[in-house]
Amino acid sequence: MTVPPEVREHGEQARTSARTDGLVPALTLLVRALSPKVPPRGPRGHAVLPRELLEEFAAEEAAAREESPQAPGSTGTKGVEDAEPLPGLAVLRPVPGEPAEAVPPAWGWALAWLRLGMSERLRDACLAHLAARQSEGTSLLMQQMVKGTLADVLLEHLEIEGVLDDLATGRTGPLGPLRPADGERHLAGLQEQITRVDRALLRLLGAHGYTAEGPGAAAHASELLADAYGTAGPGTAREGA
Amino acid sequence: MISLPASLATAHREVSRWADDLRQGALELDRDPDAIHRHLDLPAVRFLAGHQVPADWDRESAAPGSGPAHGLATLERVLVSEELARGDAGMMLASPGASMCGVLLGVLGSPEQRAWVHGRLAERPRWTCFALTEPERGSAIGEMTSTLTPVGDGSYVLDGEKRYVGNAARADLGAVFARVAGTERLGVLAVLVDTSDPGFHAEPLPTVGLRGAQLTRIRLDGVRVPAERVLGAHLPPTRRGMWSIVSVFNRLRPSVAAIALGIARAAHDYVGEHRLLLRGPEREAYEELGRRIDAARSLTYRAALAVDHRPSAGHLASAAKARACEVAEEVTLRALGFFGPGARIDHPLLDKWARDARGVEFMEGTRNIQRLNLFQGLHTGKAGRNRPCRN
Ligand SMILES: Cc1cc2nc3c(=O)[nH]c(=O)nc-3n(C[C@H](O)[C@H](O)[C@H](O)COP(=O)(O)OP(=O)(O)OC[C@H]3O[C@@H](n4cnc5c(N)ncnc54)[C@H](O)[C@@H]3O)c2cc1C
Repeated sequence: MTVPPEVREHGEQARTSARTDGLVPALTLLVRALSPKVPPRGPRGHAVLPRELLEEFAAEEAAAREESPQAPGSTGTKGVEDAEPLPGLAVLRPVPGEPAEAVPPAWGWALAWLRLGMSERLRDACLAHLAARQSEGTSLLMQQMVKGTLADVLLEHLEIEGVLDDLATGRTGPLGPLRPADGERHLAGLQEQITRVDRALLRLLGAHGYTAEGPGAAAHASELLADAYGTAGPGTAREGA
Repeated sequence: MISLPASLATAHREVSRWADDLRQGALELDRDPDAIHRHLDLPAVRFLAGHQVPADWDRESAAPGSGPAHGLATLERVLVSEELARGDAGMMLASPGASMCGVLLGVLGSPEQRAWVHGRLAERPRWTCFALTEPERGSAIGEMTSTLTPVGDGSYVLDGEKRYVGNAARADLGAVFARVAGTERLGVLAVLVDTSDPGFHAEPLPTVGLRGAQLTRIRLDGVRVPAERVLGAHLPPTRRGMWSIVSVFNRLRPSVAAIALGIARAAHDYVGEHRLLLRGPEREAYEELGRRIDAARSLTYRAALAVDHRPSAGHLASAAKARACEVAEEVTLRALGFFGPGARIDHPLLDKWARDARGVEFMEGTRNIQRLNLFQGLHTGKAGRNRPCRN
């Protein structure tokens, strides 16, 4: 399985932007690049996207309606929830009876790059926060247990980066081509791995990471992204939900 | 197997019926922590407020704040906490009552101090707070910098800052830990404060989860503390400060473990109720999560019994607290996976529990702190001596 080169490029940009600027700017970049006409909706019609873009999409829909009132109206911007998980981020519910537009190809992989960037941003925040906290005459960052956890986090990040990179380049290893992967399951596993790394970092951030103003709110938004655009792998069939 | 005294089994049955009420208010409270004011008449909330103890619960005496006659106060708190948190941990933590202050008073309070606090709580639903954590120091409680400056007549002036303190903005009374000016580690004292006293300022600090607990930042600007509000003055100095914190933590950790288990169980039960046709690997995964909850509960009960028998026996409490929080995070994340893409949006309770489960990690010491306690127990030979605690 490979990811198209342009998706890789946008994904990498989103990763960098996520790490330096945060989730909303990075997601804005990604949506503009991969889904410039309609809000990208997940497999069941959910969406998480910058409010600013939502407004742009809505304005375009309104303009299109004015131009040709007879044309079937788009449902792309319907179903917006009141609450914002993060300032400037909107959540869209599925619109009943309206099939969702297909999510752009490889959108999920690009999101994984973005989420990796967010996880690295969380790691940066963690390093800075713990370096500034003193206990027993040294910074918390220098506690062995803390160092160990951060080393594990880095290890996970490096592995995730490698996997995403290999998928993008279609690079084959010295032992031949990569193991054939079930794309959806592979992606779900990777997203879960990112969530778990985030959780380890959030534990290190103490209650600071649990406040709405702290880095924990963006981590929750990142979990929400993985959820809305998740893949319906095994263990996700549902009845009576 | 742990066998419960009959009166405790009765209490457990009763409390488990209160959980549904709490669930009704869960999402409303998640949006607005002040919504608790609309639920003050619920039996669970009245119980936590200290206004109603069912008649068939055996109490030591009729006095407000009186503990159970069977003597297993920690185990009782564990049973109650799991059931109520299964209903909703936010509602439980948002409820008025003595809460952690009650446990502290049990350890350090004189009869007069207990009567003063419980008397005021009996008047109407009143909140209390327990202020220990500081902006620059959370886990390192021994290094707190809030100060009590002696005035000369046994009273003090209290200055400093506290952070992440549950319910402080709506509390009438609070227990505050601070260091007596110019002293070292042993110079930590706990004092009772009336939050309407000049110099006490508390401001809510919105959180990602457990919003009902309404964490706050507190500023203490020269709050006067009369001599009779200093806790533990009737005890030897070594039993007042850090000793009391450890002792209170040992009693509280099993209850926090139980809150974590309640959250895990809420999510697990939700899967069972909404995914009726679980088969194959899904069924196995579901059962496995259930077993993990049960194992952590068993540890939690044993921890509670150990502390009830010997308050200094806190290693099981640390183990239970660490494991239950881990299980809560795991179960609440995995529960989402049973519902596929958009589960967090379609099932807001599941999203809430996944956020709530993160918060219990920090209450009464983080996982690392529990692990350090466990190592200490192992190193000193106090833990790991193959004597399972049953009853
Ligand atoms: C829902 C909730 C309710 C709360 N209620 C109250 C309350 O009512 N009253 C109150 O006073 N406080 C309360 N707190 C605060 C809580 O007690 C603190 O968050 C907790 O003690 C951890 O402190 P911290 O957040 O400052 O983390 P820090 O102490 O800064 O820890 C940051 C990270 O470093 C790790 N760490 C710290 N020291 C060491 C070490 N020596 N070795 C290895 N690792 C270490 C920790 O495990 C953590 O992962 C509450 C917090 C929450 C989230």
